[in-house]
Amino acid sequence: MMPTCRDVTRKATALDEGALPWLERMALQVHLLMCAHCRRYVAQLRLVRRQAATLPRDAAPGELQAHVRDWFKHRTP
Amino acid sequence: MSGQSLDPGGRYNGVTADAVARHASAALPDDATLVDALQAGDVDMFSAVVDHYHRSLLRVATTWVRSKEAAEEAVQDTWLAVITGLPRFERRASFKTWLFRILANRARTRAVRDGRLVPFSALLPEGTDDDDGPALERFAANGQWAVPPSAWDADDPEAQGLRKEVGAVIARAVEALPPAQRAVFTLRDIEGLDAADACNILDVSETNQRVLLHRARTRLRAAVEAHRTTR
Repeated sequence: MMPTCRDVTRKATALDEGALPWLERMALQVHLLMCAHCRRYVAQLRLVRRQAATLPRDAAPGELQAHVRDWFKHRTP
Repeated sequence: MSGQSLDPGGRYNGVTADAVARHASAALPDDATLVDALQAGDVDMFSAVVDHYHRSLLRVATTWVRSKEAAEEAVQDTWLAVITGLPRFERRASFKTWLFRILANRARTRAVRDGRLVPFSALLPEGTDDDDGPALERFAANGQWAVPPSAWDADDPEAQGLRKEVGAVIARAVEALPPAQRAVFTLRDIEGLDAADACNILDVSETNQRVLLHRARTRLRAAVEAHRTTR
């Protein structure tokens, strides 16, 4: 049976992770070929994932940096 | 051990430790170069590493400990353990995987000592169907979209402005995720660890890890959608 749009939204990560049986994976991919809304939904999930990898990184507090730099300099080789 | 990747200009694969240290967001050099530098005693590179991972370590520590103070102490314990263990680090795992394994151990130890250990399994919610995708009301009875997702940027989905906006919403929304989802999302999508390493660090099954990751991505996509609808 062909998956519905609702099924696609529930299984998008399992699809990307390669965690679905072959037949189910093929059925979802056929659905995605035919359904622009689901393609958009899956693309948006993937954009979230990609953007997460490039989030700005906050610097550690100065006090922690001072401690660890001191420990690092005085470490026992 | 010598810092064999350090060139005469004091650069590691073209990246100076100073340049990395100035910006917490700067990409770190590749693993071999990074570990060479740390084992050679490059304190500026170590500072850059501390900045780079600070927020993610705190996020993952709060999986087991509940207070901000306890999480900060677990992170501090982790850096001390990293400094102590660096000379013996054999690179069987990536530096990042090793770092988060130490963090998980330190956070659990601290939580046990404080009598406040929250087992990861206790953080696995039953969940409802609405956690796994858009709400039921957005679908017709036959399962097709009734209210489909709107385009975030119809003309150019890769537009710089959109990416910045999505990033800003994610940065806020990730802090509001339930702890287990936040931990999995941090390890998988922010830090880029693979599923096996994330499962190992969090002591969670691959299936549960995948469910948590999917729920986190679903919530964050919904947060971006809500932001774009209400602006």
